[in-house]
Order: sequence, then C-alpha cells, then structure tokens
Amino acid sequence: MLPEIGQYTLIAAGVLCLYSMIACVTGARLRRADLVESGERAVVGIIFLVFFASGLLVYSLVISDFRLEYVAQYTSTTLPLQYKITAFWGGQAGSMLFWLLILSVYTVIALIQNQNKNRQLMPYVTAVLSGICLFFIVMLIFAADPFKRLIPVPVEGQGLNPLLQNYWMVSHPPALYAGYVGLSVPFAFAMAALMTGNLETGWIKAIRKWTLFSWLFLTVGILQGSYWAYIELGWGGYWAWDPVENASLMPWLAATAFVHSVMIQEKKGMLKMWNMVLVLIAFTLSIFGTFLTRSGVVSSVHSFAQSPIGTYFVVFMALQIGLSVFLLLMRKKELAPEARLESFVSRESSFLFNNVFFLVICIAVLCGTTFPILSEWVTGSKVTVSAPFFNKVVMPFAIGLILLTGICPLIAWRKAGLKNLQRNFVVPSGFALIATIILAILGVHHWLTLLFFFSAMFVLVTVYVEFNKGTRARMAMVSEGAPAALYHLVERNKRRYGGFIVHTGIAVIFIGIAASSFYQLEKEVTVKQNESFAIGAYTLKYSDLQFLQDAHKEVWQARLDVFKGEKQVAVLQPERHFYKNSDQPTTEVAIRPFWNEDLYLILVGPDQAGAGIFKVFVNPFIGLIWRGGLIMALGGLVILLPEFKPEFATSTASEIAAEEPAT
Amino acid sequence: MKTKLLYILMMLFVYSAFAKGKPVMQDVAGKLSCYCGTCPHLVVTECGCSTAGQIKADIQKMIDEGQTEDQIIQSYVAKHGQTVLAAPPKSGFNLTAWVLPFLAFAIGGFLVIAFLKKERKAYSLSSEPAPREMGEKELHYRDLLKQELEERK
Repeated sequence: MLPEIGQYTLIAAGVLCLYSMIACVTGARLRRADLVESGERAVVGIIFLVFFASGLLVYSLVISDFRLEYVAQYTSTTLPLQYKITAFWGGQAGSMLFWLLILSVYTVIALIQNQNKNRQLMPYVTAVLSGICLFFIVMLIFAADPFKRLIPVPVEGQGLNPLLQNYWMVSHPPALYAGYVGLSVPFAFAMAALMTGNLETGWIKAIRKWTLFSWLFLTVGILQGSYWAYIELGWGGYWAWDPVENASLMPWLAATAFVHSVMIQEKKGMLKMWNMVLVLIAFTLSIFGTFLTRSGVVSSVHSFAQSPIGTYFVVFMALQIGLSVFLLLMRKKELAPEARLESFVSRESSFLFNNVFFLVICIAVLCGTTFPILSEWVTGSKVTVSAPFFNKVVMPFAIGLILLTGICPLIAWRKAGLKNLQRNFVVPSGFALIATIILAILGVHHWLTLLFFFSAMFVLVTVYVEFNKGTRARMAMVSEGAPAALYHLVERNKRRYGGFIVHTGIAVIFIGIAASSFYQLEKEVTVKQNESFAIGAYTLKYSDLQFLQDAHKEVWQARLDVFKGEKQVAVLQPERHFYKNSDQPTTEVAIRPFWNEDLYLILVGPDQAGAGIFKVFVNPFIGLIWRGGLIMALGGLVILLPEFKPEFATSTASEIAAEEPAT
Repeated sequence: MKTKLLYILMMLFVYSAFAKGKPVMQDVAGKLSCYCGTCPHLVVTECGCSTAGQIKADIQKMIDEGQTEDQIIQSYVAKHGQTVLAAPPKSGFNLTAWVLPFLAFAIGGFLVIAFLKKERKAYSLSSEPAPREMGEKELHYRDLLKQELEERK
C-alpha cells in the first residue's frame, strides 16, 4: 500500500501545481485577488504533499522496504543508517524528488518574503515556480518513479556505491542542489517581469540575494566536492573535469557573471536585457546540469536514448528556452538602457569584459563536456575530452579573469582618466611584481606558476589597499580604533567589502592551484616491510600491514612511519577497502597536512609476495584551495547578511566615496 | 647586440631540437586517458589503478626501444580507438572543440568593443556634459562643501 500512497501523493501535488498555475495567471489577468490568493495558497498544499512523499521515501529507505525498486537499488540492510537516509539523493529518482522538495520550500519562502512586495509579479512568479515543480512531478510519475514496486521482493538490496559512503555524501549533494534549485527563483522573477512588462529594477532587487544565495551554495558544494575527490578518490588531485563537476561549474560561472553585471543595472539602469539573458542562462544551465548528470547522456548518446528522463528534460528545456527568447524579443524595447556608457576605460566596461571572460569559460566547459556527444552524433566516432583539453583551453581565460578581478575595482565608474589609473595601479602592480621576483629568486621558475602568483598577488594587494584606505578614513573621521573602524567599514557596506573578501578567497585558491599543479611530487613504490623510501623532505618506513573485516567490507591497512630528517613527524595508515556489495575496491587515503604541503599516501595494495605498493604525493600549498574556499564562503555570507540601517545619517564625504559596490 | 640575439635564438633552437629527441614517459602518459573503466577517464598519469600502472610501464618500455611519442600514441589509438586520447586531436571535426572557445572570446570581445563604441557615440550626442576627473584640491573643496551643507541641515 505504501508505494501507492507515495504515487498518489505525487499525483495530488501535480494537480495542485496545475491549479496554482492556472489560478495565479487567470487571477492576475482578470484582476481577481481571491483567485490569486487561492493559487498562492495552493503552494502550501504542494509543499505539504512533497514533504509527505519525501518522508515516505526516507522511511522506506530506513526500514529497508525492498518492495520499492529504489530502496533495493541503492541500500542494503547492512548499510549504516546515515547512508540509508542519504540514499534519498544518491540515485536518479530520489534526487529528482529532492530537487522538487527544495524547490517547493523555496517557492514558499519566496512567497512569504514578498507578501507585501512585488505584488504584480508574484502571481506569475508562483505560476512559473509551480510550473517547474509540475515538470519534476510529471517526470517522477512517468519516468523516474521512486515508488516503483519491485516484483519479486528481494531479501537484500544492492547497497550504496562504496564511494558514496562518506561523510561528504551527507553535505555535498544537498549544498549543490540548494544552489542549483535556488536559480529557479531568479528565473521565475525574470519571467514574471517579462510577462507583466513590469521591468523596473524592483525585480532585480528581489532576485539579487537569491542569486547570491545560490552562488554561495554552489561555491560551497563545488569546493566540498573537490575536497571529497581529493581525500576519497585517491589520485592526488581534486578536480578531474568530470561531466558531473562541470555541470555544477557552468551555472556557477553564469551566476557569478550576473552578480557582477547586475550592479550596472542597479547603479545605472543599463544592461537590462543582458542581465535578463544571464538569469535565463544560469537557470537553463542548472537544468542542463541536472539533465547531463542524471540522464546518462554523457556516457553515450545511446544510453541517453535508453534513459527515460532524457526526453522529458529536452522537451522542458526547449519549451523554457523558447518561451524565454519569445518574451525577451517581445519586451526588447522596454529593456532599453536608461543611460549610456561613456568610456572604454570605466568600471562599467571592465564589467562587460569580466562577463565575456566568465561566459567564454562557461562555453569552453560546455563545449568540452558535450563534445563527446556531439562527435558521436556527427562523425559516429567517440572521443574523450578530459583534463588536458580543459586545462589548455580554460587556463588563458582563467588568468585573464583573475587579472580583471584585481583591475576592475581600481577603475573609476563612468570614466577613468590616466591619473586615476596611475594612482590606483602603481602600488598593487609594483608589490605584486616584487613578490613575484622574490618567489623566482627563491627557486620557483615555472612561468605559469609565476604568472598565476603575480595575478593573485595583484588581487590581494588591491584588496589590502581598499581595506586600508577605508579603515584609515573611518579612523580619521569617526575617531575609532583600527579593529572597530574595520568592523564598521565592512558592516556599513557589506556588498563592497564582502565582494573584496570573495576576491581574496579566489586569489588564495589560485595560488594553491598554481603551486600544487606545477610543483607536485609523485612516486610509486613497491617496498617490503621495514624498508623505507623517500620523497621530498620525507622518509617513509613501511612498518606493518593488517587485514581487518566487518559486516560490510574487508580492509587492508598499512602503517608507515614518516620522518622529516631524524624526527618522526607522523604515522600514516592508508587503507584499501573491498565492499561485499561491490566489485570495486576503494582507497582510504592517508594525508598528513603540513603548513606548506600535504603528504598524500595511497595504498595500491599488497603484492603477491606481501610487499606494499604505495603511491605517494607531496602537494605543495594544496590546502590553500580549501582555505581560499572558506574565505570565499565567508565573503558570500557577509554580502548576504541583512542590511544595517543606521538610526541617523552620519555619512562623511570619504564614506560616500567608499560606498560603492566592489566588483 | 644583434649577434648576441642571434646567438640566443640559435641556442634556443638547438635546445628545442634536442629537447624533442627522446620522449618522457610522463609527457606521453599525460596525453592518454585510462581505460580501466573505474575512473572518469582520468589521465593515465593521474589514475591510481593497476591498468594505468601497466600503461606507464609499457610506455617506458616503448621509449627505451626508441619509439617516438607519435608512434607510441598511434599504437594505443590503433589498439583502443580514439577514445584513448585524453584530448581530441586538433584536426578534422575535432578542431571545432579547440577553436570554439577562442572564437567565442573573439566574438564576445568584438561585440563588447562594438557596443562600447556605439554607446560612446550615443553619449557624446546626448547633452550631458562629460565628467572630468577632480584634482586633489578640488576633492578637498568638495569635501568641505559637503561638510558645510551637512552642518546647515
């Protein structure tokens, strides 16, 4: 009975979605407030039903109800409880239901936020969000049913992929989904603005925070994913340009471009059309990313044909893109700019170039990710597009972008004269150059590392100069101590200084990438017990190998004593796991982080003679990638904090000058 | 000066000719993707599986036998098809993948510049006076003026 209850709940939610759409649009057209209200209230019914369906699925997963195909496919009775719950988003149908769950929550939040605001837009916003909900419900009912019965009922399930049995499975997918789904809200507002012709900047204000919120979750999700790959997949790296990773990077790039160019619309009333396009691209890419990772289209065109959900996605994307383009063209005249750009060298124009870089990287990633499909389709032969392609193609644009990250905030709005450029550029570029020369003298000679380092230092010095200038101005004007002045500076202008914190994080990540990519040490050795081998400054002595087992898996665990000179600095215990439900062995990497580098050790396995085969890496400054990520997240949080409203205006001239958003 | 430059260029040429002589295992393996089936098409140098280990050993053997990088790579393509290449070759239809991002950059850059030109023209035709950068002195007077206005409020 339980599977049927789940299915009927979804059908009821679908009916409510349809009702909500019709009631909201009809009510808005006929100016019937009661109808609109009824349509908006239907959303509460949707969220209740979707929560109920999700609860049923999680309950079935927890009690191992193998009458459901989904439960049998992704769990087993021996699976620890937390992974039974995370299996909710571990498979195709469950992850679609999870998408729907988050979307319904966001819809309700958006409605509550706008109870007394944007009233003209809200019926259409609700209709669009209910429409997206309906799409997922239709797919869940007809193509990816999480409540599908399995006959005959098996005694045991297949279990969750061992690679997914990791703490990160708890937090990484929800973070990414929170980001992906969050982009639906800006899309709904953009569509509502286009449908109603209500194209003032009101809708832009309503969605700026939503886009930033999604951006923050995508950032955190992507970085968590890279850390997960680093500690779990066991190849010493953190980013493989895998289609699943790329799928999350593309909407992130589009959303980042938007949070930059939206400032020009807010400040100048320009680029309205372009911002609209960016919102549509970001949402389309979030749907496309879900399609890419869930339909199996990447592994082969043929698996796409077999996948039941592929066609649904293609139809939905075609409808959504078609409608968006039609509405954009219809409102073209109303999206005309309110002001004109007056100079090639201005903050506005530098933002346009910033957008070009973001979108070109996005196109490069899209091109590389989809090229195997395109090639198979056009020429009939498959090709592989992996890291060497992406590294080569993306690298020049990434360097250009990080340089722009430093340059943009230095250029004045409207028109920057030579004096402005001289005054602002000399210090950061001088410092960055000196730091780079010192690095070269210290022995770093790889030109790409030096270029990355110069660009990152340029950004860091720029940010420092900005913070320093603002803090000093406050100290002089308001007679505050340095910490209080710094605190109030950020508090009073969160967007500007939060943005600078994000830039700091990006620069730190770039330094981490450059150092760990070009100066990684790697060695593969086979050693007998009590023998040693050396890598970089370390000597590793292989002292023991143990065989352990529990209900789920068999484990080979090696023990190595690590020495730096004469001194023992660590004991590393890398493991190799063989799960009973899977043929695929997994590695448990042993990592010892030092302040400047990670010692990264993988047990490939014991050979037949009992010797240990190890792969060992020294990754210089790789930890900066995740530390930089934390700084980025912190910056994002600062921007998202609610606005502080002073009780009385005490703005000074220097504050007014400082109160403009960062790039 | 000219002779020095010529000398440096010649040395660079000689160096590059020598550098091309014998392929390095890491370089060759870096151009192939692992076909073990368990990794997401990782580059051979990065994959930790036994298949990748075997490929690396085989490449080293071929290098020691005197084969060139091209010959080694072609032998893998002949055995495993084009998918063994970590990146598509820069020829034929595959060239599209390599060219497209740069083409997009050129088009994007061109469009932005054309847009800026158009905007600047439209701006100069409008009546708004062109802004001028303020000197230090003027900034100082502006601040004073603002302060006075504040006080009068």
